[in-house]
Amino acid sequence: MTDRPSPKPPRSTREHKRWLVAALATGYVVAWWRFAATSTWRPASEEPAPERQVARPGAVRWLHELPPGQRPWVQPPAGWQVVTELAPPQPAALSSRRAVASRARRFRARTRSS
Amino acid sequence: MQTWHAMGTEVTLHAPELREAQERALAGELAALFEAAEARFSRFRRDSELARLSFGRGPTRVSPELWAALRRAQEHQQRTRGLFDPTLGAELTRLGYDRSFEQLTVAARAGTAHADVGAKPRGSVRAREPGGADEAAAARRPAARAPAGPLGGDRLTLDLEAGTVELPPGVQLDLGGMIKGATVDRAAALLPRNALLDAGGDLYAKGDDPLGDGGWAIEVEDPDAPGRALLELCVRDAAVATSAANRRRWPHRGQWAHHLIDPRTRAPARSSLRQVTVVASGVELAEVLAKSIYLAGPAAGLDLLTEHPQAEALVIDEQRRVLRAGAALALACAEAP
Repeated sequence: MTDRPSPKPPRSTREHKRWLVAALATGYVVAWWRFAATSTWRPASEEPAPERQVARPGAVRWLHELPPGQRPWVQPPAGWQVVTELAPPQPAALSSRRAVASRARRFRARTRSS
Repeated sequence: MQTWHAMGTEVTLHAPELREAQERALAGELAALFEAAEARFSRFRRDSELARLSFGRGPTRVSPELWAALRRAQEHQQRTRGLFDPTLGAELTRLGYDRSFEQLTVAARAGTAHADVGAKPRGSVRAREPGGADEAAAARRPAARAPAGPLGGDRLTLDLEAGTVELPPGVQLDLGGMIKGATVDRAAALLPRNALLDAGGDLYAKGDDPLGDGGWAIEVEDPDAPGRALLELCVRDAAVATSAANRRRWPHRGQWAHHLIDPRTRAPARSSLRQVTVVASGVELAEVLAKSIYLAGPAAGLDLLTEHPQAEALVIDEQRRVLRAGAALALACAEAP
Protein backbone atom coordinates (compact mmCIF):
# COMPACT_ATOMS: atom_id res chain seq x y z
CA MET A 1 0.00 0.00 0.00
CA THR A 2 1.52 3.34 -0.99
CA ASP A 3 1.40 6.24 1.39
CA ARG A 4 -0.03 9.22 -0.29
CA PRO A 5 1.04 12.51 1.00
CA SER A 6 -1.76 13.79 2.94
CA PRO A 7 -3.21 16.85 1.42
CA LYS A 8 -2.15 19.99 3.00
CA PRO A 9 -4.60 21.21 5.47
CA PRO A 10 -6.29 24.41 4.43
CA ARG A 11 -4.64 27.50 5.76
CA SER A 12 -6.23 29.03 8.72
CA THR A 13 -7.36 32.61 8.83
CA ARG A 14 -4.50 33.42 11.13
CA GLU A 15 -1.99 32.18 8.62
CA HIS A 16 -3.58 34.22 5.88
CA LYS A 17 -3.25 37.29 8.05
CA ARG A 18 0.43 36.61 8.64
CA TRP A 19 1.11 36.32 4.97
CA LEU A 20 -0.79 39.52 4.32
CA VAL A 21 1.16 41.42 6.97
CA ALA A 22 4.45 40.12 5.62
CA ALA A 23 3.51 41.14 2.09
CA LEU A 24 2.49 44.61 3.22
CA ALA A 25 5.67 45.05 5.25
CA THR A 26 7.80 44.01 2.31
CA GLY A 27 5.98 46.41 0.07
CA TYR A 28 6.47 49.21 2.61
CA VAL A 29 10.20 48.59 2.87
CA VAL A 30 10.61 48.54 -0.87
CA ALA A 31 8.62 51.70 -1.27
CA TRP A 32 10.63 53.51 1.47
CA TRP A 33 13.87 52.42 -0.10
CA ARG A 34 12.90 53.75 -3.48
CA PHE A 35 11.55 56.96 -1.96
CA ALA A 36 14.74 57.65 0.03
CA ALA A 37 16.87 57.12 -3.03
CA THR A 38 15.04 59.77 -4.93
CA SER A 39 14.33 62.22 -2.09
CA THR A 40 16.02 65.65 -1.97
CA TRP A 41 15.67 66.02 1.82
CA ARG A 42 18.89 66.36 3.69
CA PRO A 43 19.69 65.57 7.30
CA ALA A 44 19.73 68.56 9.61
CA SER A 45 23.41 68.04 10.29
CA GLU A 46 24.40 69.12 6.81
CA GLU A 47 25.05 72.76 6.10
CA PRO A 48 22.01 74.89 5.49
CA ALA A 49 21.26 76.57 2.22
CA PRO A 50 23.65 79.33 1.41
CA GLU A 51 21.07 82.05 1.91
CA ARG A 52 20.83 81.07 5.58
CA GLN A 53 24.50 81.85 6.15
CA VAL A 54 24.11 85.58 5.65
CA ALA A 55 24.47 87.39 8.97
CA ARG A 56 21.21 88.56 10.36
CA PRO A 57 20.79 92.28 9.97
CA GLY A 58 21.53 94.07 13.21
CA ALA A 59 23.88 91.36 14.53
CA VAL A 60 26.26 92.99 16.98
CA ARG A 61 30.01 92.74 16.65
CA TRP A 62 32.16 94.32 19.29
CA LEU A 63 34.95 96.57 18.14
CA HIS A 64 37.54 94.53 19.95
CA GLU A 65 36.48 91.43 18.00
CA LEU A 66 37.72 93.06 14.84
CA PRO A 67 41.40 92.90 13.97
CA PRO A 68 43.08 96.23 14.79
CA GLY A 69 43.51 97.06 11.13
CA GLN A 70 39.78 96.67 10.46
CA ARG A 71 38.44 98.73 13.32
CA PRO A 72 36.72 101.86 12.15
CA TRP A 73 37.81 105.13 13.71
CA VAL A 74 34.99 106.45 15.84
CA GLN A 75 34.74 110.14 16.61
CA PRO A 76 34.82 110.64 20.39
CA PRO A 77 31.66 112.23 21.79
CA ALA A 78 31.55 115.98 21.98
CA GLY A 79 33.22 117.39 25.05
CA TRP A 80 35.85 114.68 25.40
CA GLN A 81 39.49 115.36 24.62
CA VAL A 82 41.65 112.55 23.33
CA VAL A 83 44.64 112.31 25.64
CA THR A 84 46.35 109.42 23.99
CA GLU A 85 45.66 106.36 21.94
CA LEU A 86 47.08 103.37 23.68
CA ALA A 87 48.89 100.52 22.05
CA PRO A 88 47.30 97.08 22.29
CA PRO A 89 47.89 95.41 25.64
CA GLN A 90 51.35 93.95 25.94
CA PRO A 91 52.18 90.57 27.43
CA ALA A 92 53.23 90.86 31.04
CA ALA A 93 56.81 89.82 30.33
CA LEU A 94 57.39 92.74 28.01
CA SER A 95 56.05 95.30 30.45
CA SER A 96 58.37 94.42 33.29
CA ARG A 97 61.01 96.96 32.35
CA ARG A 98 61.60 99.84 34.74
CA ALA A 99 64.30 101.96 33.18
CA VAL A 100 64.37 105.36 34.85
CA ALA A 101 66.18 105.58 38.15
CA SER A 102 64.03 108.40 39.48
CA ARG A 103 60.94 106.24 39.05
CA ALA A 104 62.38 103.68 41.42
CA ARG A 105 62.69 106.27 44.19
CA ARG A 106 59.31 107.89 43.92
CA PHE A 107 56.32 106.25 45.59
CA ARG A 108 53.53 105.29 43.24
CA ALA A 109 50.01 104.32 44.14
CA ARG A 110 47.78 102.60 41.61
CA THR A 111 44.12 103.15 41.02
CA ARG A 112 42.13 100.23 39.63
CA SER A 113 38.69 98.77 39.76
CA SER A 114 38.05 97.28 43.16
CA MET B 1 54.09 102.24 54.92
CA GLN B 2 51.34 100.34 56.73
CA THR B 3 48.90 97.88 55.21
CA TRP B 4 45.87 96.11 56.62
CA HIS B 5 42.90 94.21 55.30
CA ALA B 6 39.44 95.77 55.39
CA MET B 7 36.26 95.80 53.33
CA GLY B 8 37.52 92.95 51.20
CA THR B 9 40.64 94.74 50.06
CA GLU B 10 44.09 95.87 51.11
CA VAL B 11 44.28 99.34 52.62
CA THR B 12 47.63 101.12 52.51
CA LEU B 13 48.75 104.17 54.45
CA HIS B 14 51.83 105.98 53.24
CA ALA B 15 52.89 108.84 55.50
CA PRO B 16 56.61 109.22 54.83
CA GLU B 17 57.07 112.16 57.19
CA LEU B 18 55.91 110.17 60.23
CA ARG B 19 58.16 107.91 62.22
CA GLU B 20 57.29 104.27 61.91
CA ALA B 21 55.71 104.07 65.36
CA GLN B 22 53.57 107.09 64.62
CA GLU B 23 52.57 105.68 61.27
CA ARG B 24 51.69 102.37 62.88
CA ALA B 25 49.58 104.08 65.52
CA LEU B 26 47.76 106.09 62.88
CA ALA B 27 47.18 102.94 60.86
CA GLY B 28 45.62 101.31 63.89
CA GLU B 29 43.27 104.24 64.30
CA LEU B 30 42.27 104.15 60.64
CA ALA B 31 41.80 100.39 60.71
CA ALA B 32 39.32 100.83 63.54
CA LEU B 33 37.41 103.32 61.39
CA PHE B 34 37.20 100.81 58.57
CA GLU B 35 36.14 98.02 60.89
CA ALA B 36 33.39 100.14 62.43
CA ALA B 37 32.08 101.07 59.00
CA GLU B 38 32.14 97.48 57.84
CA ALA B 39 30.34 96.30 60.96
CA ARG B 40 27.55 98.76 60.30
CA PHE B 41 27.27 98.76 56.49
CA SER B 42 28.36 95.35 55.22
CA ARG B 43 25.57 93.40 53.52
CA PHE B 44 27.58 90.22 54.09
CA ARG B 45 27.39 90.50 57.87
CA ARG B 46 23.93 89.41 58.98
CA ASP B 47 24.30 91.34 62.22
CA SER B 48 25.19 94.61 60.49
CA GLU B 49 22.63 97.37 60.74
CA LEU B 50 22.32 97.55 56.97
CA ALA B 51 21.64 93.81 56.65
CA ARG B 52 19.05 93.92 59.42
CA LEU B 53 17.35 96.79 57.62
CA SER B 54 17.42 94.89 54.31
CA PHE B 55 15.87 91.77 55.80
CA GLY B 56 13.55 93.54 58.18
CA ARG B 57 9.97 94.52 57.52
CA GLY B 58 8.15 97.78 57.70
CA PRO B 59 9.41 101.22 58.73
CA THR B 60 12.56 100.92 60.76
CA ARG B 61 14.45 103.41 62.87
CA VAL B 62 18.14 103.47 62.08
CA SER B 63 21.26 105.03 63.54
CA PRO B 64 22.27 108.57 62.57
CA GLU B 65 25.21 107.16 60.64
CA LEU B 66 23.08 104.86 58.52
CA TRP B 67 20.45 107.56 58.07
CA ALA B 68 23.09 109.99 56.83
CA ALA B 69 24.53 107.41 54.45
CA LEU B 70 21.11 106.61 53.01
CA ARG B 71 20.34 110.29 52.55
CA ARG B 72 23.57 110.73 50.64
CA ALA B 73 22.79 107.63 48.61
CA GLN B 74 19.45 109.12 47.63
CA GLU B 75 21.13 112.36 46.61
CA HIS B 76 23.65 110.46 44.52
CA GLN B 77 20.80 108.54 42.94
CA GLN B 78 19.00 111.74 42.01
CA ARG B 79 22.10 113.48 40.70
CA THR B 80 23.11 110.51 38.56
CA ARG B 81 19.56 110.16 37.23
CA GLY B 82 19.21 106.78 38.88
CA LEU B 83 22.43 105.24 37.58
CA PHE B 84 23.69 105.00 41.12
CA ASP B 85 21.22 102.77 42.90
CA PRO B 86 21.73 101.64 46.50
CA THR B 87 18.96 99.01 46.31
CA LEU B 88 20.57 96.38 44.09
CA GLY B 89 21.70 94.02 46.83
CA ALA B 90 19.17 91.35 45.92
CA GLU B 91 20.20 91.46 42.26
CA LEU B 92 23.82 90.92 43.25
CA THR B 93 22.83 88.03 45.47
CA ARG B 94 20.81 86.43 42.67
CA LEU B 95 23.86 86.68 40.44
CA GLY B 96 25.88 84.77 42.99
CA TYR B 97 27.56 87.64 44.80
CA ASP B 98 26.09 86.56 48.09
CA ARG B 99 29.29 86.57 50.16
CA SER B 100 32.46 88.60 50.30
CA PHE B 101 34.39 88.58 47.07
CA GLU B 102 37.27 86.72 48.65
CA GLN B 103 34.96 83.93 49.72
CA LEU B 104 33.30 83.96 46.32
CA THR B 105 36.64 83.62 44.56
CA VAL B 106 37.62 80.68 46.74
CA ALA B 107 34.26 79.01 46.17
CA ALA B 108 34.43 79.60 42.42
CA ARG B 109 37.83 77.99 42.22
CA ALA B 110 36.53 75.02 44.18
CA GLY B 111 33.55 74.81 41.82
CA THR B 112 31.10 75.18 44.64
CA ALA B 113 29.74 78.67 43.98
CA HIS B 114 26.25 78.73 42.53
CA ALA B 115 23.71 81.47 42.42
CA ASP B 116 20.37 80.04 43.45
CA VAL B 117 19.51 78.48 46.71
CA GLY B 118 18.41 74.95 46.02
CA ALA B 119 19.80 74.94 42.50
CA LYS B 120 21.85 71.94 41.55
CA PRO B 121 25.52 72.84 41.59
CA ARG B 122 26.81 72.80 38.10
CA GLY B 123 29.98 71.12 37.03
CA SER B 124 33.15 73.09 37.52
CA VAL B 125 33.16 76.24 35.47
CA ARG B 126 36.22 76.68 33.33
CA ALA B 127 37.26 80.22 34.04
CA ARG B 128 39.47 81.77 31.45
CA GLU B 129 42.58 83.57 32.58
CA PRO B 130 41.77 87.20 33.34
CA GLY B 131 42.99 90.02 31.22
CA GLY B 132 42.40 88.66 27.74
CA ALA B 133 40.15 90.26 25.17
CA ASP B 134 37.81 87.26 25.24
CA GLU B 135 37.55 87.59 28.96
CA ALA B 136 36.77 91.26 28.77
CA ALA B 137 34.11 90.56 26.20
CA ALA B 138 32.56 87.87 28.34
CA ALA B 139 32.51 90.21 31.29
CA ARG B 140 30.68 92.76 29.22
CA ARG B 141 27.98 90.26 28.30
CA PRO B 142 25.41 90.12 31.09
CA ALA B 143 25.13 86.77 32.78
CA ALA B 144 21.54 87.19 33.90
CA ARG B 145 18.73 89.43 32.81
CA ALA B 146 15.84 90.51 34.94
CA PRO B 147 12.84 92.49 33.82
CA ALA B 148 13.82 96.13 33.42
CA GLY B 149 12.50 98.39 36.10
CA PRO B 150 12.09 102.13 36.41
CA LEU B 151 15.03 104.17 37.56
CA GLY B 152 14.65 106.30 40.57
CA GLY B 153 14.39 106.20 44.29
CA ASP B 154 11.03 104.54 44.64
CA ARG B 155 12.50 101.50 46.34
CA LEU B 156 13.94 103.33 49.31
CA THR B 157 11.69 105.45 51.49
CA LEU B 158 13.07 107.78 54.10
CA ASP B 159 10.41 109.29 56.33
CA LEU B 160 11.88 112.52 57.60
CA GLU B 161 9.11 113.12 60.12
CA ALA B 162 9.10 109.68 61.65
CA GLY B 163 12.82 109.17 61.19
CA THR B 164 12.27 105.72 59.68
CA VAL B 165 13.49 103.84 56.64
CA GLU B 166 11.42 101.38 54.67
CA LEU B 167 12.21 98.99 51.85
CA PRO B 168 9.75 96.94 49.79
CA PRO B 169 9.86 93.18 50.45
CA GLY B 170 12.68 91.48 48.59
CA VAL B 171 14.69 94.66 48.09
CA GLN B 172 18.12 94.72 49.70
CA LEU B 173 20.59 97.50 50.16
CA ASP B 174 24.11 97.55 48.81
CA LEU B 175 26.20 100.63 49.54
CA GLY B 176 29.51 98.88 48.88
CA GLY B 177 31.86 101.27 47.11
CA MET B 178 30.10 104.35 48.38
CA ILE B 179 30.81 103.39 51.99
CA LYS B 180 34.40 102.50 51.23
CA GLY B 181 34.82 105.92 49.64
CA ALA B 182 33.13 107.64 52.56
CA THR B 183 35.39 105.82 55.00
CA VAL B 184 38.50 106.89 53.10
CA ASP B 185 37.19 110.47 53.19
CA ARG B 186 36.77 110.29 56.98
CA ALA B 187 40.20 108.75 57.35
CA ALA B 188 41.76 111.37 55.09
CA ALA B 189 40.81 114.03 57.62
CA LEU B 190 43.15 112.31 60.08
CA LEU B 191 46.12 112.16 57.72
CA PRO B 192 49.16 114.36 58.23
CA ARG B 193 49.99 117.01 55.67
CA ASN B 194 51.74 114.82 53.11
CA ALA B 195 50.26 111.35 53.02
CA LEU B 196 48.32 108.96 50.86
CA LEU B 197 45.63 106.46 51.79
CA ASP B 198 44.76 103.77 49.27
CA ALA B 199 41.84 101.38 49.79
CA GLY B 200 42.15 98.87 46.97
CA GLY B 201 42.49 101.50 44.26
CA ASP B 202 40.14 104.13 45.73
CA LEU B 203 42.53 106.62 47.22
CA TYR B 204 43.08 110.08 48.63
CA ALA B 205 46.35 111.90 47.94
CA LYS B 206 47.04 114.63 50.46
CA GLY B 207 49.76 117.20 49.90
CA ASP B 208 52.91 116.12 48.10
CA ASP B 209 55.15 113.10 47.94
CA PRO B 210 58.32 114.36 49.65
CA LEU B 211 60.41 112.44 47.14
CA GLY B 212 58.56 113.77 44.11
CA ASP B 213 58.27 116.95 42.13
CA GLY B 214 54.85 117.91 43.47
CA GLY B 215 51.69 115.99 44.16
CA TRP B 216 51.53 112.19 44.25
CA ALA B 217 52.14 109.85 41.34
CA ILE B 218 49.05 107.76 40.71
CA GLU B 219 49.21 105.03 38.12
CA VAL B 220 46.05 104.01 36.30
CA GLU B 221 45.82 100.29 35.70
CA ASP B 222 45.39 98.87 32.23
CA PRO B 223 41.97 97.16 32.27
CA ASP B 224 43.16 94.69 29.63
CA ALA B 225 46.34 93.79 31.49
CA PRO B 226 45.80 93.91 35.26
CA GLY B 227 49.05 94.57 37.02
CA ARG B 228 50.26 96.87 34.27
CA ALA B 229 49.96 100.64 34.39
CA LEU B 230 49.02 102.55 31.28
CA LEU B 231 48.71 106.10 32.59
CA GLU B 232 50.36 108.13 35.28
CA LEU B 233 48.59 111.02 36.93
CA CYS B 234 49.98 113.58 39.29
CA VAL B 235 47.44 114.47 41.94
CA ARG B 236 47.48 116.76 44.95
CA ASP B 237 44.76 117.07 47.63
CA ALA B 238 42.33 115.04 45.59
CA ALA B 239 40.63 111.68 45.49
CA VAL B 240 40.86 109.09 42.73
CA ALA B 241 38.54 106.16 42.05
CA THR B 242 38.26 103.75 39.12
CA SER B 243 35.46 101.56 37.82
CA ALA B 244 35.74 98.67 35.40
CA ALA B 245 34.32 95.20 34.97
CA ASN B 246 37.63 93.40 34.78
CA ARG B 247 38.40 92.56 38.38
CA ARG B 248 35.34 91.98 40.53
CA ARG B 249 33.74 89.23 38.49
CA TRP B 250 32.80 85.64 39.05
CA PRO B 251 31.41 82.68 37.10
CA HIS B 252 27.64 82.45 37.01
CA ARG B 253 25.77 79.84 34.98
CA GLY B 254 28.62 79.34 32.58
CA GLN B 255 29.24 83.04 32.01
CA TRP B 256 31.01 85.81 33.83
CA ALA B 257 29.01 88.20 35.97
CA HIS B 258 30.46 91.38 37.43
CA HIS B 259 29.55 93.79 40.18
CA LEU B 260 28.57 96.87 38.13
CA ILE B 261 24.83 96.30 37.94
CA ASP B 262 22.88 98.46 35.52
CA PRO B 263 19.71 99.60 37.33
CA ARG B 264 17.90 99.79 33.97
CA THR B 265 18.31 96.08 33.32
CA ARG B 266 19.13 94.82 36.82
CA ALA B 267 21.95 92.88 35.18
CA PRO B 268 25.72 93.35 34.86
CA ALA B 269 26.26 96.42 32.75
CA ARG B 270 27.29 96.36 29.13
CA SER B 271 29.33 99.49 28.60
CA SER B 272 31.07 101.04 25.64
CA LEU B 273 33.81 102.01 28.06
CA ARG B 274 36.49 99.71 29.31
CA GLN B 275 37.35 101.75 32.38
CA VAL B 276 36.54 105.06 34.05
CA THR B 277 38.82 106.94 36.44
CA VAL B 278 37.52 110.00 38.26
CA VAL B 279 39.52 112.62 40.12
CA ALA B 280 37.35 114.57 42.55
CA SER B 281 37.34 116.35 45.87
CA GLY B 282 36.30 113.22 47.77
CA VAL B 283 36.56 109.48 47.30
CA GLU B 284 32.84 108.83 47.80
CA LEU B 285 32.00 111.27 45.01
CA ALA B 286 34.76 109.88 42.77
CA GLU B 287 33.51 106.35 43.31
CA VAL B 288 29.88 107.24 42.58
CA LEU B 289 30.79 109.21 39.47
CA ALA B 290 33.18 106.57 38.14
CA LYS B 291 30.53 103.91 38.37
CA SER B 292 27.79 106.13 36.95
CA ILE B 293 29.88 107.28 33.98
CA TYR B 294 30.79 103.66 33.26
CA LEU B 295 27.09 102.81 33.14
CA ALA B 296 26.13 105.94 31.22
CA GLY B 297 28.81 105.83 28.54
CA PRO B 298 30.83 108.83 27.40
CA ALA B 299 28.02 110.97 25.96
CA ALA B 300 25.64 110.77 28.92
CA GLY B 301 28.60 110.58 31.29
CA LEU B 302 29.67 114.03 30.19
CA ASP B 303 26.29 115.37 31.34
CA LEU B 304 26.96 113.93 34.77
CA LEU B 305 30.35 115.61 34.87
CA THR B 306 28.92 119.01 34.04
CA GLU B 307 26.89 118.80 37.24
CA HIS B 308 30.08 118.24 39.21
CA PRO B 309 32.45 121.02 38.18
CA GLN B 310 35.06 119.84 40.67
CA ALA B 311 35.49 116.43 39.08
CA GLU B 312 37.51 115.14 36.17
CA ALA B 313 37.13 111.87 34.33
CA LEU B 314 39.53 109.83 32.26
CA VAL B 315 37.92 107.03 30.36
CA ILE B 316 39.30 104.27 28.18
CA ASP B 317 36.99 103.49 25.32
CA GLU B 318 36.61 100.44 23.09
CA GLN B 319 39.43 101.64 20.88
CA ARG B 320 41.77 102.01 23.83
CA ARG B 321 41.77 105.76 23.56
CA VAL B 322 42.08 107.74 26.74
CA LEU B 323 39.48 110.50 26.77
CA ARG B 324 39.51 113.29 29.31
CA ALA B 325 36.75 115.67 30.35
CA GLY B 326 35.76 117.88 33.26
CA ALA B 327 37.84 120.04 35.56
CA ALA B 328 41.61 119.80 35.20
CA LEU B 329 42.28 118.44 38.65
CA ALA B 330 45.12 116.13 37.79
CA LEU B 331 48.34 118.14 37.67
CA ALA B 332 49.67 115.94 34.93
CA CYS B 333 48.61 112.97 32.89
CA ALA B 334 50.91 110.92 30.72
CA GLU B 335 51.16 107.47 29.28
CA ALA B 336 53.13 105.24 31.62
CA PRO B 337 56.54 104.26 30.28
